[in-house]
Amino acid sequence: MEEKEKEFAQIVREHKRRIYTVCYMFSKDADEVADLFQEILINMWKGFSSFRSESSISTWIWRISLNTCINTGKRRKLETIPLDVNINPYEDVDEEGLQVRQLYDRINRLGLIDRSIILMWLENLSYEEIGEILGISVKNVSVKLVRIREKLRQMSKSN
Amino acid sequence: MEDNRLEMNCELEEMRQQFAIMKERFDRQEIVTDRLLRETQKKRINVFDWLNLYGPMAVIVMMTPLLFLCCQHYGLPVWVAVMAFLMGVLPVIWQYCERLKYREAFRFEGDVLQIAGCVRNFRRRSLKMTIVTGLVSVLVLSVGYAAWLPNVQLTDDPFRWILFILLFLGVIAAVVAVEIKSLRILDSIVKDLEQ
Repeated sequence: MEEKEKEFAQIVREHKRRIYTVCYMFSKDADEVADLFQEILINMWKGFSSFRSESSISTWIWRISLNTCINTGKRRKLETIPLDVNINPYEDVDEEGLQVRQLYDRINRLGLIDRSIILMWLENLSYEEIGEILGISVKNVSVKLVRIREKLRQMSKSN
Repeated sequence: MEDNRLEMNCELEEMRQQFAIMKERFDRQEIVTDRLLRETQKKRINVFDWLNLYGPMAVIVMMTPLLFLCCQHYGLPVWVAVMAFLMGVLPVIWQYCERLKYREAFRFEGDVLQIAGCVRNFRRRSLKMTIVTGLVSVLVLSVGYAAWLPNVQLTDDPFRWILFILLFLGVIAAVVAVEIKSLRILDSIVKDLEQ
């Protein structure tokens, strides 16, 4: 394996959970997660050689992951390579699984951009980082988050 | 956290806890396989993109000689075949040029909101192109049909007559169906953008 390929593989392995989480929150089933995951890796690989560390690798990965999930239309590939996971976060009914499912249900009811913001907030990204990834000001991030909080409260009330 | 300073309500508090559980659960998974990495680096899946983009063009180019033969055999004006060919090829070329124009956006490396705007603009323009092409195609077919109609003798071959009427109605119905679907998609994109 070439040096560049090794480096790419290492980055993917370091950030696999983050990418998987984004795919999960933007999909309806495990097959779609696998599709999106693969699509994100392809986009990362395409841009990897031109990545010049102007932003951090984590910001770059967030951008590619969110952009792919938001903008890729639903389509099946000729061949989807299965992911190495022994859980199905859409169907698991154990205690942990139910908690994860509840989180999914809450986030999935939000719009695409709101979903992205709350995901990054839950990942403990600073407002500056969220703003940098989305392309909006820190103040705007703050306003959007307050609105999301209200939406979540309304959702809980209506349940 | 100082940089992540949203005043939390109970929903957010609960979501933070659930997110921690999810992180732990997903962290235990291997997720990435060597095969997945290998295939990604080969970019083999891109074949699908090529089929998607150039498939219709290939079909149209292959159909052209057949179209000309039909015109000659059934007395249809040749310009109908030329127009049908152009109506098939031009949107594909146009889409290719548009993709070049939005190449940076399709690399998905820029700001999320900016890329979303670019991709939606691209899709909106593509849909408009589909609608315009569809309408022009119907117009061309109608005029071509009208021009051809007087040349056909009903007594010659009534089955041929019926076949052509059915074919014409089928084409019109298909175009109308595609237009309605396209308009619905366009509506949903506009709503999405407004949101």
